[in-house]
Amino acid sequence: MATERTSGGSGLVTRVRRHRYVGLVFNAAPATFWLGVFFVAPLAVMLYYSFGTRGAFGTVLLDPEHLGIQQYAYFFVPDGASIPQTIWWTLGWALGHFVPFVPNVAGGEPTAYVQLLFKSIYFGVVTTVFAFAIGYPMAYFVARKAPANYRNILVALVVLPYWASYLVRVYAIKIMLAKNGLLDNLLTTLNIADNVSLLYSNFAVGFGLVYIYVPFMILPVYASLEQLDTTLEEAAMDLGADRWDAFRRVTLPLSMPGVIAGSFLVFIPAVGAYVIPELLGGTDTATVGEFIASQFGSAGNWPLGAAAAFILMVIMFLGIWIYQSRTGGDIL
Amino acid sequence: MSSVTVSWFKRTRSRFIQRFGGVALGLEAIALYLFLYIPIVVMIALSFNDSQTAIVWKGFTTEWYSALLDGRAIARVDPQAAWIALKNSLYIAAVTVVVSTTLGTMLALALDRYDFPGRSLLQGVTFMPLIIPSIVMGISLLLFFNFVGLTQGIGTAIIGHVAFDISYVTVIVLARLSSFDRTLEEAAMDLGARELETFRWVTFPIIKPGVIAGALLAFAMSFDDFVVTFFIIGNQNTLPIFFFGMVRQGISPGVNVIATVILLATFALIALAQKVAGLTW
Repeated sequence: MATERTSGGSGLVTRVRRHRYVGLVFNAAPATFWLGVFFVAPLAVMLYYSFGTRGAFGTVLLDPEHLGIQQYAYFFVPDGASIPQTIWWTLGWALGHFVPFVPNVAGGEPTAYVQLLFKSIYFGVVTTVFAFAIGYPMAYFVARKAPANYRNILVALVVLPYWASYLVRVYAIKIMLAKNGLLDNLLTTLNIADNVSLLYSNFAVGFGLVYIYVPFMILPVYASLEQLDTTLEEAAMDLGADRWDAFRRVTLPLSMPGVIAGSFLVFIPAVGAYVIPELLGGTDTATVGEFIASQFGSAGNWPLGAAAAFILMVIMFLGIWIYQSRTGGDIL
Repeated sequence: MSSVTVSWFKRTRSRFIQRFGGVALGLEAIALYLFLYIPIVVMIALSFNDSQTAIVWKGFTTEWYSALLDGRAIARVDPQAAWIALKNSLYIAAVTVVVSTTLGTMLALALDRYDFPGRSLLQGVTFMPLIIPSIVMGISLLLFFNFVGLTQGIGTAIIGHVAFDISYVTVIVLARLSSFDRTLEEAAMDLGARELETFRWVTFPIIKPGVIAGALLAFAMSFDDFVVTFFIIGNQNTLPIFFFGMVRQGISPGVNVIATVILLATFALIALAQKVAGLTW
C-alpha cells in the first residue's frame, strides 16, 4: 500500500486502487475461506489419515511411531515382493487380463487392491468408448441432419433425463435389468436367453454407467459439431474426397475437442462411481469407490480407505494434467 | 488396385452414404432416445402395477398412491420416514442455496474483476470440487469433521453442500460475466453512482440470469446429492439416502411410487424454474 501511495501520484488514483483492493478482499475472502477450510483442509486431513495405522476396534493411530507409508505399501506391493517385481507382475497381469489372447508371462499377480483399481479404470474406459460409439452419431444427427428448428428440442430431450434424480435413474435401470424385466423379456422373446437376471453383473454396471453418463458425451460433441464450418467439408469433397473421407479427415478431427471434453466428463465420474456398482453390481464387481466406502463402513480401516481415496484422486489429476499439457486446453 | 477401381469404390460408398446415411443416423438417434426414456417410462408405469413383486404387469391400480397419501406403509416404505427425509432435504438445499449463491457470486466477481497473485491457484481450487470424485470429497469431509471433533448431522451436511455448490455457482456466474459490457459500469460511475449503487442498479440486473441459473443448479445438486451427504450426515436422513436404503433392498411397488413422486416433483421444479428464469442449460 505504501508504495502504491507514493507511485500513484494523484490522490484519486490512490483512492481507486485502495478501493479496488478492498473490493477484492470483500468479494473473494468468504468463498476462499469456505473452500480453504471445508475443501482443501479436509483433503490435507485425508492425506494425514492415509499415513496412519488401524488400531483396535476401528480406531486410527496417528502418533509418530504409527505414521508412515504402510497403507500405500499394502495397496501396491504384495507381501514379500520387491518393487520391480511388483511393477513387472502388474504389467503382465494387466496385459493378460485385459488384452485378448495375451498370456500373463510375468507369473505373479498384483495385490487385490491394484486389481480393483484396474477394474475401475476398465469400467471407465469401456463406458467412455460406448458413450462415444452411441453418442457421437446421435450428436452428429442432431447437429447436422435434423431440421434446424427442431434442434433445440432434440438437445433439450437429451438434457431432460439428466434433471431427474440420479438415484431414481439408477433404480429405473435396476427395474429394466431385473429378472422378468423388460430386457429379460426381450431376450426370451428373441430366444437368445431364458429368464435371466442381468442384474448384479459387470454388464449391469456398464449398462448403468453408459445410461447415466452418455449425455455428458453427447452435449460437448454436439456443441463442437454445431460450430463447425460446413464449407470445409464441401472443400474436401471438391478436392476429390468422398463423403466418408470428408467426414473422417475433416469433420471428425475438427470435432475432437468436443470428443475429448466429453471423454473426460464421462471417464472421471465412471471410474470413481460408487452408487452404480453398489446398486447394480454383484460381489465380484467391486470397484475402488465401493472399496473406499467399505473401509469406512463394515471393514473399518480408515487409513487404508483414505489412502485408496488419495490414490484415486491422484490418478484423476494425472489424467487431467496429461490432457491439459498435451492440448493446452481447459476441461471446463 | 487401379485408380479407376478406387474412384468407383469411393463413388459407390459416397452414394450409399448419401442415400442411407441420414436414415441410419436418424434410427440410431431414435434408438438412443428410447434408451434414455424407456427405463423412466417403465418405472412410472410400474408404480401403477397391481402386483406385489412389481416387475410383471398385472393390471392398473392406484392403490399404492392412495396408501402413501393415507400414510400407510406400502411394501417396506414408511411414509413417515419419507416425509422427514424430504423435509431435511429441502431444508439443507434451501440453506445451501442461499449461502453458496452469495459466496459463489462474490467469488466470480473477484475472479473476473481483479488480477492478483494466486488468482489462477484460486481458480483451480474453485473448479476442483467439480472434478474430483464425490466419494473423495465425502470421505475427506468425514475425516475432517472427525479430526476437528464436529458432531455430524444436518449442519455438517450443509457445510459440505456449500463447499461443492460454490463451484457450480462460480462457474456459471463467471460464464455470464465473460460477456459483460464493462463500459456500462463505467458509465454509471461517470454519472456519479457509487460502487454499491452501480452493483445494485447495473451489475446485478445484468448478471441476474446467471445468478438464478447458478442458484437453481446449486439447489438441484444439493437436493440430489447422495454420496457426499451419505458420509457426513451422521444418522440423519435425506431423501436420496432414504431412497438408497430402499433401492438396496430391491424393487417394490412402494419404491416405484416414491421414485415417481421424486421424478415428477423434480420436473415440476424445473418447469417452474424455466418459467421464472428462462432456459437455464
